[in-house]
Amino acid sequence: MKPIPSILALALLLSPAQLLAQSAGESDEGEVQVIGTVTPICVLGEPSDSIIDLGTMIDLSGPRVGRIASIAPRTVTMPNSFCNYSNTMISINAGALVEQGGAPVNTGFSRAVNYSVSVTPWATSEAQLQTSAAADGSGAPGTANSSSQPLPQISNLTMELSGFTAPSDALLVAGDYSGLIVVTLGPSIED
Amino acid sequence: MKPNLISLLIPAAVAFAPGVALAQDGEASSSDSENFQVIGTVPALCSVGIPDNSGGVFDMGVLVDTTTGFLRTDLFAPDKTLSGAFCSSRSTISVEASAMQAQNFAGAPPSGFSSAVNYVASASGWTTTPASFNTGATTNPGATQGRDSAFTGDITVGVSNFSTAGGATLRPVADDQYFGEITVTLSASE
Repeated sequence: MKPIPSILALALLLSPAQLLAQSAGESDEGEVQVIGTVTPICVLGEPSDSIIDLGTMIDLSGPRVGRIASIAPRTVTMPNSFCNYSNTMISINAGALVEQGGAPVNTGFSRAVNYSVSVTPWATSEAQLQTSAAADGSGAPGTANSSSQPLPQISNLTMELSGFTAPSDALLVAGDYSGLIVVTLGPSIED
Repeated sequence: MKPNLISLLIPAAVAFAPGVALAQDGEASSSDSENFQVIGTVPALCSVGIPDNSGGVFDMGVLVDTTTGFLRTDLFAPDKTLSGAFCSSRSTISVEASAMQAQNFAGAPPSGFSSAVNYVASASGWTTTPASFNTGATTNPGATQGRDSAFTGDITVGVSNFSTAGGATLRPVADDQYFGEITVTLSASE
């Protein structure tokens, strides 16, 4: 409560000084700088899906019974993704779909499904990755980066998964399969 | 005057700062990540493969020794291979077989004769112990064998140990066709 009256007192004190300045000449000039900052940010648009469910991945009859079916490419959109600063890139880290039971596999079987994933469009050279797990599911996730986008950029990004294959086209072990993809939009490592 | 003014403004700035910092951390920074899960399923599935030749028929030819009328002791037929059999999960293999029965002879066979021939059918290659079924036995505990892992390979089906139903002292009745059936079943087990 006490400080408030003191502000009023200050205002009253200034007023006579301002009146004095205005009356000094016909015109007067002052410069006022307005400043602000814009933080560098990147935002990925809200993905249309966060889980990509391929359903049953094998042929249940016919000459390829038990082997991987022809799986249509899947797409996920991230509309209005942007970075408001220069030299940015898209980075993909992805691992194969691996059967989660973890039991060893016999010859002729696989517990991994590899695929290709890309996120476009962002830069001249787009981020594109092919997973490469072995039949037993081993193999670290891979990482792929786009080239550097030299300007602030806004883009309707599309992630596409395609080319689903089993190592050596082996029979697939029964079970639930899953893989993780991490898409990052951020500063280019070329900086 | 002045000290009072400053003391008013500073607390306000301090009060605002945490709020601003929080908003920046939670909403946007110089990079942004999204996690995606790719999932799919493979159902348990078995396929027994395709018999390799002659349509899956064991043709045993003439069953009896034509001089004595007793069942031949050297009955033999080549094994059948079921190639490309597989199960995508744990599995069991089982064999069932029926005795070879005279197809045209009607009624009970006369004394000293038999209208059926027993044998042992086996399926090997899938399990350590082959699954086998004796058509003359009352029980066949070895007819079903289990395998703990998904497997693919050839299954060999064989017939052996032919014997006259009712005993070796009986003679098979004359008939154009003795017929028995062997069924090999692969089952996925969860």
